[in-house]
Amino acid sequence: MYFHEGLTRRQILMAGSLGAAAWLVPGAFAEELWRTPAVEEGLFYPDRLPLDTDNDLVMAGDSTTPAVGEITHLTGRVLSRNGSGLSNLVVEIWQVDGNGAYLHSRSANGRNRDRNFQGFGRFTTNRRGEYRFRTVKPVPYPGRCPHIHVKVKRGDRELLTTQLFISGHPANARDFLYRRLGGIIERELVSAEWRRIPESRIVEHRANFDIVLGVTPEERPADKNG
Amino acid sequence: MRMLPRVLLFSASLLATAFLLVPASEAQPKGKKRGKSEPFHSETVEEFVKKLMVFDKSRDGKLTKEEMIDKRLHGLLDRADTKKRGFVTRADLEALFTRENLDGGFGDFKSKRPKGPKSKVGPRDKGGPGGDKE
Repeated sequence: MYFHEGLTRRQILMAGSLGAAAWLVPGAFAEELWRTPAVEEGLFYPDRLPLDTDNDLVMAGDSTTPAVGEITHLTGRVLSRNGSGLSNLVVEIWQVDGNGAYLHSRSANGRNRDRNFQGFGRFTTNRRGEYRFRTVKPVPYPGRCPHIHVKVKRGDRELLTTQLFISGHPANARDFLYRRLGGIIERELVSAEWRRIPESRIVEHRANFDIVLGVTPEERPADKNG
Repeated sequence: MRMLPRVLLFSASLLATAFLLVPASEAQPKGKKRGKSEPFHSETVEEFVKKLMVFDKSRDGKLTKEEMIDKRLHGLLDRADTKKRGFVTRADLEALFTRENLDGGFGDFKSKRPKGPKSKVGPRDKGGPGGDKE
């Protein structure tokens, strides 16, 4: 039976299967970036958001006392698969403080929570898709390796929820979520190196985490160079 | 009235079919819950090498950083290029896979687990704020 222009049903099915396979295999199109893998949101997205939700988690509210921990300047870009920066997206992060406690009423070790640590922050990407946070280096706690939860939104619509891990941290290999990520490439895509800033007098790090979304064309910005 | 048994039989078949299908249809939305990880798949060495060598545009069997447009994977290529030749081959990637593959699962709790029947440490421990576990 012929469907169109001399194509048989088998040819159409084969073409469809190949097309689907190409979309499913990461990197099948060598001109595109890998999509950042999703990782579970977990249970500790703040159940009561703080009044202060800016991108400086080291200083909470009007307090002038910084949070305990190794300062980390977390920066990165939110990109489409063709590498264009995606503007006006909200990046949210949340993580444990230096004592391993989340900003959540059911967090373990909540009694010892560092009240100077904001625990949660937001930043809206600029026209180049860049974001920036000042936070503390995440610490391990029973059952998990160090990680920062990351969520990307456009308005109220959640585009990606994932977790950022510290490259080469010895606890990674024992973390059930890290191990379940699929493969070496996927783990690489949700990991960042924490580089010590040598000129800083205190213990301070830089970490870069670029996030690639599998956005559809209509969600891409009009200005691709933006 | 003769139709009644047939109607009942037909209805029972429909109910049985629905009963069999519902769990499968419910399983899909569960997996797509907000913020869920992507389904776990233990990667093979062939899959790993194939995913990267597709970027070997020159088809010379040598993958370079210039060919790998996704800079987030340049560190991975550095680790694979143990001989510091400026490119990696299929064999380099296979060796990297052997060194770094974690094979999914629940971590090496087994090796950390103290011996003895009374041990309470193990993969079933809930652990901390970690409560990230499901």
